[in-house]
This record gives sequence, C-alpha cells and structure tokens, in this order.
Amino acid sequence: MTSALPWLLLFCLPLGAAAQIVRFGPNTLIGGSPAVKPELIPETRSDVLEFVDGSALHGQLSRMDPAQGLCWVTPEANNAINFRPDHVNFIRFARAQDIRLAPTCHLVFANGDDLYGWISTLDNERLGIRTWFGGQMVIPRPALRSITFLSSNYAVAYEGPYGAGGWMIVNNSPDSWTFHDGAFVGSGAGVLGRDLGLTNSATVEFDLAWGAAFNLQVGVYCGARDRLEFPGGCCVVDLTPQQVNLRQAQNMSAFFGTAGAPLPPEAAKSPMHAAIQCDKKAGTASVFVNNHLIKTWKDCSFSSAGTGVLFMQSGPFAGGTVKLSRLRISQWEGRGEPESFVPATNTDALHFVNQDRAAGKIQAIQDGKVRLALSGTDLEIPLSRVTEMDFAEKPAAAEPPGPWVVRAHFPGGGSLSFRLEKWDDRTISGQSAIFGPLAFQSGAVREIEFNLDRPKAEGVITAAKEFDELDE
Amino acid sequence: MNWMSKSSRIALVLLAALGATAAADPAAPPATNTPGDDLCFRNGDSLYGKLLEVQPGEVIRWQHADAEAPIEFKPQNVAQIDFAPRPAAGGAIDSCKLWLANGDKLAGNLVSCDAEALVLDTWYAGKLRIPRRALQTLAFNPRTPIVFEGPTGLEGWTEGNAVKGLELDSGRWVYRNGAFYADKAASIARDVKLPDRAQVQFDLAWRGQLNLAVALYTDSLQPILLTDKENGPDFGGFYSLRFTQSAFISLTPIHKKAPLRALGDYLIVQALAQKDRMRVDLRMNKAENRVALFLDGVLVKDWRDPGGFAGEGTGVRFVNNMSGSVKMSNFRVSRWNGVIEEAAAGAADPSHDVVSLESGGKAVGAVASIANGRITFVTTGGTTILPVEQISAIEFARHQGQTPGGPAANAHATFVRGGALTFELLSWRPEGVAAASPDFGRATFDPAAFSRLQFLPSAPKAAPAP
Repeated sequence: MTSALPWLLLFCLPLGAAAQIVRFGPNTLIGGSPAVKPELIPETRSDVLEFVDGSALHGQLSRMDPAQGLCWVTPEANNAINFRPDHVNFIRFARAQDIRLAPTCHLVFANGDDLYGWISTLDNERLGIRTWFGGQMVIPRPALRSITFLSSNYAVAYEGPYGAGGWMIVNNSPDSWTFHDGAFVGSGAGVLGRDLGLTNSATVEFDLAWGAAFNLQVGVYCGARDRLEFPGGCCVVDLTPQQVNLRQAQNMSAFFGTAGAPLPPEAAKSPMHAAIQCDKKAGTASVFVNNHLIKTWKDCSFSSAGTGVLFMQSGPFAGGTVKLSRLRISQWEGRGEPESFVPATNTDALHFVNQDRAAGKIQAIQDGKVRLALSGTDLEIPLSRVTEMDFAEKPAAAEPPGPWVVRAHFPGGGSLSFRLEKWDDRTISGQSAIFGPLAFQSGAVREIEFNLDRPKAEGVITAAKEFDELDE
Repeated sequence: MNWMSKSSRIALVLLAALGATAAADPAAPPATNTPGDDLCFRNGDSLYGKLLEVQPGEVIRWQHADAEAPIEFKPQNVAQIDFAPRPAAGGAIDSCKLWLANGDKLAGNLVSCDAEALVLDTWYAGKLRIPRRALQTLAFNPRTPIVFEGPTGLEGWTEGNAVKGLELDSGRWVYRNGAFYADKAASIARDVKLPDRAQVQFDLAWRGQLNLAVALYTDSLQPILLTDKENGPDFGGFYSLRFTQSAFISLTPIHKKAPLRALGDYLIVQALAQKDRMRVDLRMNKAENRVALFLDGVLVKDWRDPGGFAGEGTGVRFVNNMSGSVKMSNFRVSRWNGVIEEAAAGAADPSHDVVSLESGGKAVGAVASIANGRITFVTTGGTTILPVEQISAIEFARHQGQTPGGPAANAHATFVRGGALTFELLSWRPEGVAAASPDFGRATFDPAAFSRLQFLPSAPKAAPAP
C-alpha cells in the first residue's frame, strides 16, 4: 500500500475554490520518541479485507472500481480474487502515511463524516474551510452539523496502532499484548507502554472491545514504560466493564481520588469508545465513554509527571481478552472542552468558554467573530470565546446509497464518504455530495469502509438481547 | 486476597445446590451473508462460503457469495473447514460408539466381530471393517436413554420458598421460550427420577457473575439453607455442585447432620471468567460413587466420593444464589452407559477384553465373536454366550504402535453427530469424500457426515536411507 509518489496530489476543487496544496509526508507525527528499545513483535504488513459477517482475508488491494469490482491479491489463493462490494465491511491498510496537522477546529457533518481543518468564513449558504486534502474550499452550510474549536497548540502525538514499533511490551504471561491488524490485543497480565513526550494537557482515546471480563489500567504521564508506578503526577484510570476509578499519588504519597463511578449499562457494552482527558491547567482528569462524561476528578496535580502512557492488565481478570484500536493521543494547551454531541435540533447554538450556551441563528463568521441572532438582536462574539457551534438540522445533499458509497478514514482522525470511482496504488477518486469531485493519494487513507448503513455487529447485539427480555 | 474472603462468605450463604454451566455455542456468524461453510486459514483468516472441492496438495475450490468465480486456495495455507449445518444429516439412530486405539471415534450399528475385525454399519460410509488391533472401546448407547427433557414450562417444577435467614433479595425462575431465567436469588426443582447411572446436561448462560448451585440426587424440592441445615426441615443426602463467582467450582456431599466438606479443593476454572455461557454435562454412577463434570465437552473433574454416594433422592434443584441473571435451557436427563471417553484410553486390564454388563458387573476374558445379536465371550471359567442387549460396553485388549490414520494421514474430520476420524483424504467432492486409512482401508463418506475437516501439517520427510 505504500506509494513512492511525491507528496502532493491533494486536490479537490469543488465550487471553484482556489487550491492550497498541503504537503504531507511520512514521519511527521508529533512526538513518538522511543527512548526504550521495544520488544520486537512481528508486524502484520498486509492489508485486511473484512466482510460484514466477520470473516477476513489478509492480502493486498491491487485495484478497485465499480466496473471490475475489488481485486484482492492474497498469498492464500492461486490467483487474484475479484469481489463485489456487497458484503464488504472495510479494507484496512497496513500502513497509512502520517499527516502533520495543527488544525484549529473539528467539523462534524450531517452525514456522519468529520474533518479536522481551519475555517475562514461562514454565511447563510456556505462555509469557507481549509482542509489538508483540498486546500481552501467552500462547502454548503446545510451539510454542517457542528464545529468544535480545538484548544491551542492541539497536536496529535500518536495515532494508530500500525505496529508494535516504538512500544515497550512486558509480557507477564505469554503474549499478553500483541499487535494484530491495527489493534493491540491483550490476553493476560502485561504492560504496553510508550514515551510520547507528553508535556501539555493530553487526551488518550481508544476503542475497546473485550470478552467477558477485563481489568484495564491506563496510565497517563507515566515515567516508566515497563511497569506501573506512582510517581507524582502520573494518573491511572482503572477501567472494568462495570466502573471506572482513578488513582493518583502525589509526591510519592498515598493514593487519592479513588472514588469511582459506575458505567451506565448502555455504555458498558463491548465495544466502547473511551477517552481520558487530563487538563493540566484545570487540574482535572475526566473519563468519557461513548462520548458521555462518566466522571471528572478534580484537584489532580500533574506536576513532576512523566511523559508516557501505558496500558496494563492485572488483577483477577487479567486473563480477559481486550482489544485496543483506533488509539489516538493528543496534547493541547488551555482549556479542554469536550465535544457535546447533542442531538440535532432546529436551531443553531453556541457554546462558550464559560460553559454557557446560547441558541439562536448563527448569521456569519467573519474577521474572527461570529454573529448570532438572538431574540431579535445580533450579537458579535469573538471566536476566541466560543468552544463549539451546533447547526440546525436542515436537508442536506447526501450520497444516494449504493455499494460503492464508501467512507475513507484518515490517519490522525477525520473521515469522508463519497461515491468511489477508482482506486489504484496511486490515487483514490470519487464524488462527494459535500465536496464535489475528490481525489487524493491512496496512501493517505487508513481504512475504507463499505456498506455504511448495514448493521455490522449483529452477533453482539443478539447476545445482549438474550437477557434484555428478562428485564421486561 | 479480597476475593477469596468474599468467596468464603458467599459459600456460607449459598443455598444447597449450585450448578451452573454455560456452554457456549460457537459464535455464529452474523446473518448478513447466507450462513455457510467457514474456511479457516493458518494465519487466522477466515472466509465464509461453500466448499466445492478439495484436491489434497493441489487446490481447495471455494465459492464465495461476492466472488465472481470459484476461488482456488492453496491447501497448505488452510487449517480447517467448519461446515454449516446441513439438512437431514444422518439417517437411523446409531446404536453404539466405537473408539479406536488412535483416539478416533465412530458411531454406527454393530454388525459383527470376529478374531480379525469388527464390522460397523454407518449411515455415512456404509459398512466399515476395522481390524481388532485398532479397537479400543465399544460402548452401546443406552437402550432407553432419555429420562427427562425440558424445560417446556413451569408445570411439574417446584419453585422454592424464600429461605429465612438468607439476606438476599429473592425472586423466581421465569419460563420463556424453552428456558428458565432468574435474575435474583431463586430456586426451582423437580424429581426427574435420576437413574443410578445418569447423565445430566444443560446449557447455562449468564450476565454478570455466575453464582449457581445445582443439587443432584436430592429428595427435597425446597432449597436448603446450608448454614442452618441441622435446624431446618429434614432432607436426604444429596450433592451440591456450586459455581461461584463464575470461576470457582466445587462439589459437596450434603447430609443433614454432617459438616460441610467439599470433595477435594475448589476448582478454579479461569476460562469460565471469560465466558458468558457454557454447556454442562454431568455423568454420575452410584455404584462407583462417581460424579464427573464436563464443561463445553471437556472433562473438568472426575470426583470419587470416599464416603460413599451421598445422593438419596432422584431430583435436581437449581438455585441462583445472587443477583446475577442466569438462563438454563436444553435440560436433559438420560441413562448413562458408564463410559467416559477420556478414561477409555486407560483400560483396567489392557491384556484382555473387558465386558461391562448392563447389570453393572464386569467380565474379563476374550471376545470370540459377535454375530446375530449375540456375543461369545471366553473366560477362564469357560465360554459364555450373551445377548448383546445385556452388554453396555466392551474394552478391547490393547495392541502396540498405532499412528492415527496411518503414516499418510493428512486430515482429521469431526462428525456432525459426534466422533472423529483421522485419514488420508484422497478427494472431497459434493458427491462423496474419498479417504483411506490402515484401519478401514478405502471408503467413501457422505460429505454431510462431517462438521469439521482439519488439514494436518505435512510430516517432515525422513532422510533417504544411505
């Protein structure tokens, strides 16, 4: 999947916008300084094709287009295989080229896509936006769902995993942590650690799937990468299917903040998306599960803290199997405001740094200010005072469903859906209802998702329903 | 260890029987594709579809719903194929199971046996002639096997009354769609007329931790408060099989006046902590003071009670002991032929044939022949001719040196109705599976007979002789 192409090719010029080419290349993720020689684990270097029934084949995508289907080359077969996309879940590429981003905002679209970028202007019809793949662009406003302004100096310190390189693995039981197909799988007591040079506030987020039970400890600002210890500043989140606890020892003293919080039943189902947000300025640590705040612990002190993260399984359920994927670790400065993920309504709304919220009609963004019509009055508010904008739900152009409507997921976050026209080892191209014609480098895509509307976890749902009947 | 002390506390509170199990169906594929055969590769990949053909060493031809043409895979990269259930797999009921010395197991109907070979009539491969040297154990299926099957409702079951002194929020077992559910402490029992040699099987699934007690051979349909059993209502002895905190299992003989003492140590089955369902299979033999526990088909423990068989009744009782949700289904009680597969490998007298009688006795000697429903058995006391109906099992004298399937074996197949066979696969086509073995020669099998086909790694070739 790696390409020797020069780093450009990022273009998409919908609505006549002028293109600013953003160059991106390998090894540009911020952080990631492996000071410790990690245990070498053979990495899976091939791409993965997974079907919606859960079956999967390793190999390599050689080409893909609606006329000929998806051509998959695998060493298991004598010849290349041509598949139709009707039951394909996703193709995950073994390696995606890193993208250096220092975006100012995160945009969520009505169709479920999301992007990191930079906004410039907004009126009743259009939003001016600069994206990493298309430069300066203009998109229709009804496609927008929300804009969240990122904290200053926001940067992705780690995104992956694409392999075990850079990580230190301490297996207290054989193969407690292994890398496989874009995920770390833990199946016994052991430690997975990495120094990421975390000096600012940090957010550690990941998808977590598990079997019947687990006890996962996530350390942030750890000094050691091969063991869990409690120097001043390191905080450890204990996660089980039932509850979350936080432990922290300050200046080698006794633990504090051990009061846990139960996970709501709807959150305690595999898989979950967990996020741990450590705000150095506010002295708080917050845990979110499936974008819902579970608890914020106050009076944390991260002074004299380490700069690494680690994941550890221990305790009576250390034999439980957990799968860590879509791991992203970012750091930032200033206040960290989580995205609200409020349901769409028929009004716009602004969220402010003082945690107030005002609903009205967002008129425009211009010259660093946002104009909000509120009860017949236009308010002009500096963007620096705004943390998030929610946009009223409006009919938006959408891709007609079809087997070739795919969603590309990018390293560092963000995803775009479009009607795929062609994929080869150099370029992926298609048509987006929001952005118009799209084309970017194949190597810039981490995963291509198919059958976006099809349920993909029916087995899990069935098992859960077995007991739901009992609660009637 | 905090959980150990908690476990001890719970043990004091537990009601008499506890049992639980949960056996798990293998994870079924989501119904997004047509359920099909599962092709499993050595690298962990898998692909659903339909097996079209196997030419060992050449190609595995596979049909996939989304592929334009049959796919040709390399057999050396394939670990096994799991076959989707096929309609009408199998014909008449098999009357016996035959274990071979190499560990293989075949089901069928006994035709004959002489000094050279045993002939087994099978629905999947016709008559198989197997040399005596390859035989290990022949076990006849119980002639009146099923004693009880359910549940089909609450009728006939006795729900337990709340027990005074038990500080638990009590509830009831609820019947729904062929299963009993409990989400609070609850007891349900039935006199299922357990035979002296019995097999009790059921599926368990649970949410949260499993804390269940199963009373075996009880005469009390009401739960017994173990901590105060001496002062409670009278009851006859029984066994309490307890599943505690999902991972701990114990078997305790319970008597009205005797102190509580489990047979052996608590079993810690860590794998249970990672499950949420399993199948429990109990084999019990009063004459041998024996209770054997299988979980998901694996023998976990074979208890022998040095104090004699404790059970004085013929009932069973399920008691959910804590506020965890439990589902019990596919409950079956049957007569047991007294043979445990894992134990069959170690015969009591490997130099002679051993015949187990339906009456419970055993005879040591030599099986001269079996024909026309009669067995001719030679002992030091002379020759005895018995109807086959009076025989429950035969353990054949051992012969040395057997390689499973012979030196050319390249496949191990599992049958849909139990049993397995190692052989040299010659070809697999929809019309038949051609295979060969030193044990049965060449034979053609019905493909519907198999639930799984494992491809054995090629043995390293021996260096040529100088």
